[in-house]
Amino acid sequence: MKNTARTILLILVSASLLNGCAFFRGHFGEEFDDAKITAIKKGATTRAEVAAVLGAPDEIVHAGERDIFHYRRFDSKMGFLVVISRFNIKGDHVYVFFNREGVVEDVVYGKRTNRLEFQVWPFGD
Amino acid sequence: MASAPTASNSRSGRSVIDRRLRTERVLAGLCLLAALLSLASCQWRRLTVNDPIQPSDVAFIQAGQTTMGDIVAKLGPPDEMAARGGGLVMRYRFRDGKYFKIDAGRLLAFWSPVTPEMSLARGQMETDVFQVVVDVSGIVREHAFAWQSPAGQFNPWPF
Repeated sequence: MKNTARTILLILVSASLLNGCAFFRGHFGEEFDDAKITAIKKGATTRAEVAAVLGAPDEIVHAGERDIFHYRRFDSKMGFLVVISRFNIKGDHVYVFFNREGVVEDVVYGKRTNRLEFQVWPFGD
Repeated sequence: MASAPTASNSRSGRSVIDRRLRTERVLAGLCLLAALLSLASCQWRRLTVNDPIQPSDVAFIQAGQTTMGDIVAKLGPPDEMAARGGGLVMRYRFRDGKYFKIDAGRLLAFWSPVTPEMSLARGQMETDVFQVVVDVSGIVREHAFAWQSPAGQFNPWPF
């Protein structure tokens, strides 16, 4: 009898915790394809070719005689448990530098979203 | 004759102990309930944007020597690039924000049809910024934390 009561209490506590449990995921922009980015060759690929492969940039920065195409993407994961929650956001960025002739001079690319985690515990690191 | 009062004393002694144990259990249960209710009125939230950058992470940067490539290799690509003269300003945005709220009104939710908001809360939403200025040849000229929040604590006091 005592064991049954304990089991019911455990189920009720677990169910009430699950009731206050939520996980959310949000994206902004499409994931970058590594193969497409490595296909961009310095001194060879043109502005039109970059736009054909990666699409129109999110932003164009004019820096002196150079133009920079900026592509960005964001990913977010949130874990929520009754009174605690943790919301993590990371962004990926691609910068393609063009010279005066519109040919790629440099590519700056890096991924942070592959290290994004679902976390609930807000304390500590 | 002597054994009767002893038995009676023993029974009443046990009943006093039982009553005391029961009272202690009820008190412990009430304390637990009060603790759970207080917990239900609190909220701990944490927001992390990108990887927080510490001064020790950027100690390697030397003006006039470090290149944009070195910085990207260590910190990843920046969140923003803006033109500055012939060079560029690279901005890294990050945040490790802590938000804590106590809503005493939630305690009334268990027996009141209306849940009033009686909150104390504190948190910060703006991102911290680390900024690097590079010249036209990609060499670092300046770098600094444009804004760096103090180490956050879970603190509901808003004043």
